[in-house]
Amino acid sequence: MSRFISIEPSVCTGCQTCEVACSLFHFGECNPFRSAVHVIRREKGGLVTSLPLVCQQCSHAPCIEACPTEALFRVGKDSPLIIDEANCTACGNCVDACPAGCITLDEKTHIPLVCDLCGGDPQCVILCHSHCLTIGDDMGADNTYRIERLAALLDAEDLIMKRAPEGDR
Amino acid sequence: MAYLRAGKILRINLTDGNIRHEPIEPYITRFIGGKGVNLKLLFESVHKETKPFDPENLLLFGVGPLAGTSFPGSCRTDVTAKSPVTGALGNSGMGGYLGPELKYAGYDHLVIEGKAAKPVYISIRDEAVEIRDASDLWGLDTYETPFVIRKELRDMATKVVSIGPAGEKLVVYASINSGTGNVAARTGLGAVMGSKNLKAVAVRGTKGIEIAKPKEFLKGCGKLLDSIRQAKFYPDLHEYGLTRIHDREMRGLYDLLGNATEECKNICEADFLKKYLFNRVGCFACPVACFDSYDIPGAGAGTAKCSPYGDLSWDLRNPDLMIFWKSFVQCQRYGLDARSLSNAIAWLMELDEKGIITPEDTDGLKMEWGSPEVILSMAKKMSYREGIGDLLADGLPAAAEKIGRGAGEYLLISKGSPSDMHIVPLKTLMLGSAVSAIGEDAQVQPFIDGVTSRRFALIDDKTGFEEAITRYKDRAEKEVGIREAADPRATKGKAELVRQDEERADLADITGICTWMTSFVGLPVNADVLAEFMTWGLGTHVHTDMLISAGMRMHQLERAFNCNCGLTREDDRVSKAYYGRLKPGGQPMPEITATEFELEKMKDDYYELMGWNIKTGIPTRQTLESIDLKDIADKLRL
Repeated sequence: MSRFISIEPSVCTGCQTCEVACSLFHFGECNPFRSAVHVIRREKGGLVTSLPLVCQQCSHAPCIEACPTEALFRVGKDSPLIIDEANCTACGNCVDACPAGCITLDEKTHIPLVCDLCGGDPQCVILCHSHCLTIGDDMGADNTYRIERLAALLDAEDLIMKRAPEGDR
Repeated sequence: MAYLRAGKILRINLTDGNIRHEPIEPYITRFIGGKGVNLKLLFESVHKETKPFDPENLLLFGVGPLAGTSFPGSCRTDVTAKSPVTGALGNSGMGGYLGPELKYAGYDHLVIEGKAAKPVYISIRDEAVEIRDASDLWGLDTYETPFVIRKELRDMATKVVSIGPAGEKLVVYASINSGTGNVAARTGLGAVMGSKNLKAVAVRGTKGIEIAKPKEFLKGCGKLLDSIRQAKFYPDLHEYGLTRIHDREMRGLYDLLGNATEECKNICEADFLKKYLFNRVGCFACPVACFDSYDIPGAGAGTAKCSPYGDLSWDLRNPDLMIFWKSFVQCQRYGLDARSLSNAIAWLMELDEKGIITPEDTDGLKMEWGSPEVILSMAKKMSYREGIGDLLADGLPAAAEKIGRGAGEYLLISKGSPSDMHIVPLKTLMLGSAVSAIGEDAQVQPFIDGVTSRRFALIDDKTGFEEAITRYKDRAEKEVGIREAADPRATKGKAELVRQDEERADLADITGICTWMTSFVGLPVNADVLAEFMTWGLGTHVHTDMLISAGMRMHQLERAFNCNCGLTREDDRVSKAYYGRLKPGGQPMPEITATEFELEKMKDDYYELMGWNIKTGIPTRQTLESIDLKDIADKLRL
């Protein structure tokens, strides 16, 4: 994969515009719960840390490998992730497979919310005021470090997943 | 589901635990949402007899139609109740994340009625609405409370607002805080919350807000962001928050007040920011992100913006921003309005200077201008009602009465509410403060009068002045139809300038967006822009004039509520201390401020503009009927 949404964590102000833009573009509604990008936000002692998570379009994608029905795939080297909704069984394997937890299931359809780069013009990037999200291009180089870096950041910042597991509310 | 709105008003009665909801639909045509609908709900059930701390008082959280969308700055929640500070309307807007989350949970408005028998908090998770025990939370500050609630609810993303010790102890200047800088600080709404034994509101929603024309709406947001980025002040705002602009502002204001100490002139907020900034954070959907957060060992952590920097430094003749920071963190934790605190301390310092009080009156503390000891101890004293703090906690007018000896003469207040100590009594600011329904409201600061007054004070050659203000006269003629309005010496046209600025704030308040997206800081959101996005959102044409009328309707309703509480023209005053406060270079400059007589004259103009009875200040039946408020006229028995 060449193009991806690059994340610069230090400048995120936590505004969630990326989430709203994503859900508005894909579902016609403003709903952070139906977004392929989600902002992890942690507040402690008067301070806020936030970090947006979105598919890093790994060249060797653990989510694709984990999909039992081949519903998650790419059409070519430069294609973003694509989900074949008809073949998806909503098993959630892809969700577990992503090292940084960039994939979640849509609460309504139970189909994974994966970043399709909005067909070429990612809306979250357009509306990100702080240039936290930008379009990156790795010219097809091996890029698994990106997702590992995100996972390490989550760990280091002790950022708890936004969505508590089912039944843990 | 209706477009742009969640669709429901959630009512929770804390006395009997009754939880119910009703559609918002009947309210939206006339009042749009946010503060507009809040006021209608308040007007319907809170009357003259209702005391602010009675269970019959309501505490309302209202969220406008654009809130929760990708519209820039669409983050606002208006909190409304009868106020223990003004004895009439109480309203304070807060940014942050609560409002959008409330809509995602399915509610545009939250109405809290009654009073719980013991401390409780409200948890809203979509349809699951609970009143939960808060005995263990009582006494915690507004940093600790959200943390404990999130742990209890096992969801770290729950949005929480809470009161601190100040609200629990019914300190009339208590605020409602998010714990991360977003505060409904003015008019004592934290105390109203405390009077209901309500410690916190926790909200989590998973639903969406429907947009009729998503593509147009998104594209419009992109274009709007571009034009925001091109605004003159934007780079400063984005990189330095308000610090650089506010630095300049404070210097400009104190040039006019003429009483800054030499040490204070060296205050530099931007330096403080550069030295200590932890990170920049912002509200929901905000491209400005005006909050600066600091984590300073030994001084505390928190998130701040704008006014408090000046409230707790310049205004108290304290040149040390570290003292500001320590005191501000206390205000945040205890849930106390920093501006009211600043005003109260400044008042005591002035009383000390004038020999009206001695350390014996103030727990042995010498109320000396700039004293770090005083500034660092007063937030706690006030929030916990300790010693002199207890005297202040029931409101400054009450404290003045107890102190006697003419102490009340030095209060800087309007409608009982403490003003900014750095408010400059220009004509429009005096009129704006006098006629505001909640006392001085920092949101209304007519630009033209501000800039031409400064020119007048700075230019020695008065013929040069005429030339210098020509372009503002052109602008005044174009915008409010009166050339003379731009002359800071004339009372003429000042009512129109005030109304113009009120209208700007009204529109932001009914739609749910931050006024900072507007010309307030030079950003481009105005009535046309709002109408355009409302049109895309609703899928039916929203005319600019329709939106403007709804803003006016809201403003008339504010007035009607206060009239229903017994307020009249007499109450549209600023305190005596406003007069003669303007002294550039230490010399009075009567030309650009107002006398009592001039203020009365401007009030006449303003009442005429608003269609209020000149003698009583009460809206006439004709006025109310002309904007579809016949029911309000009936209720006022006009």
